[in-house]
Amino acid sequence: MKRIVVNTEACDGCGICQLVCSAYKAGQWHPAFARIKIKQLQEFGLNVPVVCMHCTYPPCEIFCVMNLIYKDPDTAYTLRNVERCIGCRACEIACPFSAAVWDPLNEVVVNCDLCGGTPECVNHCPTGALIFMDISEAADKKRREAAGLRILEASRGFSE
Amino acid sequence: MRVLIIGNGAAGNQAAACIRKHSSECEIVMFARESFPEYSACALPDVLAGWIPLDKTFLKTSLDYEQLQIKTCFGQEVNNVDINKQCLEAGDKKYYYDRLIMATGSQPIIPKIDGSQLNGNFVVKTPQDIERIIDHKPTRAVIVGAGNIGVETASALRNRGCIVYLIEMQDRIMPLLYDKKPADIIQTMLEQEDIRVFTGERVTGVAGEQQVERLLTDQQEIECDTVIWAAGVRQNVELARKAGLKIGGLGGIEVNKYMQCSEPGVFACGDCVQSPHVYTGKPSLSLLWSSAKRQADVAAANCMGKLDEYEGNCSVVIEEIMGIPCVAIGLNLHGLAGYETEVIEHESEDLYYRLLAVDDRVAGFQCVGSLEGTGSIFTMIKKGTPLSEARKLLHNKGSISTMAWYMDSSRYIFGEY
Amino acid sequence: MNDYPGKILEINLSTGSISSRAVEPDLIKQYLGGIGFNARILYDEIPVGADPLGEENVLIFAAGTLVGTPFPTASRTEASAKSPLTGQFGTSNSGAFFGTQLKTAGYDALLIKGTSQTPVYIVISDEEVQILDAAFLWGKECWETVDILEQKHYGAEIALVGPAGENLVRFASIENGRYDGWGRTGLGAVMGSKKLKAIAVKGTRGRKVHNSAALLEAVRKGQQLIKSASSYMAFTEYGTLNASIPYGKNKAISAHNFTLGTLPDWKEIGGRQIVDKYGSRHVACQSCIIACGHWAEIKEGKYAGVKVKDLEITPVMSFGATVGLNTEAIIKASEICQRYGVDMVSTGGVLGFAIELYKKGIITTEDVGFELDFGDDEAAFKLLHKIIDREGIGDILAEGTKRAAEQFANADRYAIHIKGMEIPMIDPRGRWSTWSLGMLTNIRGGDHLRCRNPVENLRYNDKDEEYMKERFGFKKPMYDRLDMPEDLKSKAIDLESDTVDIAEMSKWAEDLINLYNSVGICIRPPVMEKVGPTIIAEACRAFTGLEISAADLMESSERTWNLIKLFNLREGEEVDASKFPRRFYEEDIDGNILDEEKIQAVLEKYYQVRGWNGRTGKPDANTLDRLNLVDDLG
Repeated sequence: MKRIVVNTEACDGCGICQLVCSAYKAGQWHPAFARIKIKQLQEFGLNVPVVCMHCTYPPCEIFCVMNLIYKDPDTAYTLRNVERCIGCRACEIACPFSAAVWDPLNEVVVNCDLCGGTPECVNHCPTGALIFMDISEAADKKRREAAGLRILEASRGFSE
Repeated sequence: MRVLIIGNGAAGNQAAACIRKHSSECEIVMFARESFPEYSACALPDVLAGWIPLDKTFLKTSLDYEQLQIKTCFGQEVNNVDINKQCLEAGDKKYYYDRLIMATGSQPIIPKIDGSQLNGNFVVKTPQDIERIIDHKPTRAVIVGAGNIGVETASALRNRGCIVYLIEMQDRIMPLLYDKKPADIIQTMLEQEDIRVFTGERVTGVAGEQQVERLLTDQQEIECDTVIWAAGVRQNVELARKAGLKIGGLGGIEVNKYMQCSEPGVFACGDCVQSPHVYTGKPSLSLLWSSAKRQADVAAANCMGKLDEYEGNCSVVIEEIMGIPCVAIGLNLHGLAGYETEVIEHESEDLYYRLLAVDDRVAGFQCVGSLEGTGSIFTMIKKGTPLSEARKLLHNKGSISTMAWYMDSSRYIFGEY
Repeated sequence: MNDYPGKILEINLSTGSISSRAVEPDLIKQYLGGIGFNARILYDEIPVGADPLGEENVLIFAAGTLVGTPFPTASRTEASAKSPLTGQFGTSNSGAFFGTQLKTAGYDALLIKGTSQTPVYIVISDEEVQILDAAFLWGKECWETVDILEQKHYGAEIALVGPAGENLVRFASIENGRYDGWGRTGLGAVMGSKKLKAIAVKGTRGRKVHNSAALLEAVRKGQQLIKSASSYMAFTEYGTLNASIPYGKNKAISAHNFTLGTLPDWKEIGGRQIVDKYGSRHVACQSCIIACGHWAEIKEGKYAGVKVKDLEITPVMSFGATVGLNTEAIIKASEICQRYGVDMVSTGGVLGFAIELYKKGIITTEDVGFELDFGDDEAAFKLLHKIIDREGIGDILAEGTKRAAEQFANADRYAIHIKGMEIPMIDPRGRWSTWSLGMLTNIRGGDHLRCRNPVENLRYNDKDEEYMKERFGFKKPMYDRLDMPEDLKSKAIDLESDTVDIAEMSKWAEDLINLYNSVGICIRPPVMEKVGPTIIAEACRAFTGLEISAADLMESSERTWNLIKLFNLREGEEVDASKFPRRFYEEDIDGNILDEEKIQAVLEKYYQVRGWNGRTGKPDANTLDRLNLVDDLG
């Protein structure tokens, strides 16, 4: 089960992921049209990318009044039949992560679909803050990180 | 195993889908009085407004039922349930079951007052209701009851170009969702849309020859050709009552947290049940799509022998008025009567919110102007996160770096802008 | 179909009128965007001899062509007006996220004319533009104002002035959010004179691109190019501070108002390792893959709790070298500059100037109210606040070094400026290079940011007798990869002697930087080293759908540069104004001194390369004709 794993340490808030996502998903360039959002927390000096977690039991699925959110049986991605969306925005409230995104162009709510398995935001991330990896591996990596290996430096080509 | 489901609404269908997810063999039979497939009641005002076509409200086709291997007995009233024999009667046939799920739903009330049977009286519940209203070609419409359905219907009819009146008995619109102050803000927004809102008025009758011509209240007479009743719903519990299931004080079927009824082998979910509120733990009615689906999940899981518990009702209602989102989550001051409630409130040009907290726990939230951060507030209400802990969390760099989404709600938690 | 170009939004604060118009096709073709638009529009709109702080001055913000795309470092917005500091073309460039919002609101440029009677601020949300009362913000420092406006206008990016701008301090900056700013040339005073406290911009529109796939390809190539630059790794880690120690070693920093050349403990004060000590995380502007900024926090000591996005060379040189402060005081100083809205370079220059006057006895404790000394942070900050509030001697110093020097006897020797603008950080006596000549030829006065050799090598510092060459240490593959037309390359670079011709390279570097400022990308060394007109043209073509070649871009950039020069000449730039302060020719530091005549010769060679009159530095008719500027020659 590969998911986008976020390494908050490495994110410098450049916003390339948002622009690339908007280009691929909306055909237009605007950070707000992206399925991935960077929370800029200036008071903490933090930039945190927030993107759909593809929950096992997605609350958005329960809240959808049009029953158009479903778990893909093969990949377990949380996907939408977005053409049926009436834009009631209930799923936006349901999502604890603010990862259901209002798409002002089509007046519907959308979420990250992982580009069908090759997320472009990850491909374009210059710092390695976004990693597309198996979640079990990610847990591993977190453990290793705790042991002192900084993903930031590894991903930037620095040797430890 | 054979599961019978009575009702073809959100709860019934969710239950069926969920059972199918748990088991591909289990036999599922659905009964419904109506003969059309599942539809989304929440989308009906959008149809009325002309934003989406009517057929978009249907969520399933008969093919979908086939694919899920659900047998359908639609257009058949269930006459009787025999709990001892584990069987029900529909038409002139008997159906035996291992588990029964009651998802009989609710229906809007048209009060028995003068003129309420005249042509031109409507409710908003099924796609047929909407078709009938549209065929009636309303020009001056009065909506009785300013709950969320009333408000949405008013907005929709206004969008069709009707002259719209909205009458509410209580002192404010959406009295069960909002407190006076935010309700007044929303009322002003509706009035800017040219919807004429009257609160604190009781409807006394409808006048007209064959057609609705006037609506009478205790304060005025309104000339109109259409009256839409949105002043409350009644749970469909006759069948359950006849079968001997316990009916609660609020008029819904009594269930435990596993959505089990008072008799074994029978589950109930959706509008027809009353279940504890997530915050107060007191029995409450939740007439919301999301509650119905969640209850159905729980009922389906438990009837398949998988343990699942219902967290309790928590209302979440969102309206968009003139493109401005309005949200009410959890209880308002009315619902919290008797509790010592702390109100964190803010008003600025384009944002109003109030957060209600009791004993350091967020109990309710009302906001006009933004949806930002409402997701984490909702999660806090559901989880009962103490306010003080949330505040601590929002000051801690370590925790915030892994849970940045909580930051969105920080303005509400701290009562900032 | 694409959304290029956007519109030009024009706001007249005198009349309260708000209008927007399409960008004329000619303007796009000839000037691209960013500084190009600014030059053309200001040349047409500002009457000759207009008072920079008067109603006639026009303030313009123009986002570069590529801003709003993920093209690496495409975030920059150029702000321009007639400068109250130099009396000539005032312009400054800033990154962060303002430009992206301006572009997505549908505007390429924002023009502010006239003067409001009462304090106002502007809110732009797509087509909805409002001029609102700012009485409640007037007098508030920047960070507080940003907090308030962010609350009121959620999601907006904010350009604003602090108390310094309100008080018309001639080197006040326009701040770009909390931590960035349009610093130089005193644009904050222009905004303050218009009684405009802030501009909040929020855009909700997407930008449609002519060819999205091609642009993404250009983005990918651009990223690869920058990542392959030799300075990339160093810059991602330490940002601009990499240059700090080499300049210190060369005795080429502005230590104690350009009297020492270096400081004994410079390495500890200003070396790049302060990033490791005080910095925490890298911070990027929109679309940047370098992220040279750092969050800096002072954890203990008297400045504990100071948090800024900083640790860049500018404050380190201005306050560390010129004023002689220690590292923590430098961070505090940049916080003060950001909060009150003053340009860090000029502030450092003015403080250094005042301290030297004090040490020379030209001003006394009586004038100042307290003692001054290099390295005394508390006195420096007290004086800085006096300047910001224009109180006592601060009122004189707030006029900038050039004007202030006129108020005191024998003070002009200590006023280190070119054309009225304080010189930043590097001392050309210690290291003579394209960068140094760039200060003389700069269209905005004493400044280091409009001309920098794209292939500079700080390891070498041996100028030739004639000041004509700069040593590089070239290798053939690097020479081959340099994105520069072959004929220019062979003229500017001599592989055999391993040198760069300063005059030739200056023109190329200026035009290249001007191009960056037109398309909105950054001039950090990894970009300058690798991103040339070819890849920019590729991105521009994909974005705009116009047939633009690399040569077109360079020509448009040269046009802009010439037009700005015409602007300056029209405003009375004197022939001999392109000179370093007298001190550089007359006082040596460890034997390093500049030769005025030889530099004049380099300058004249530069004029010839530019196609300008060799003696006066005025553009020739031929040149202007070639650039379609002949009508502008008054």
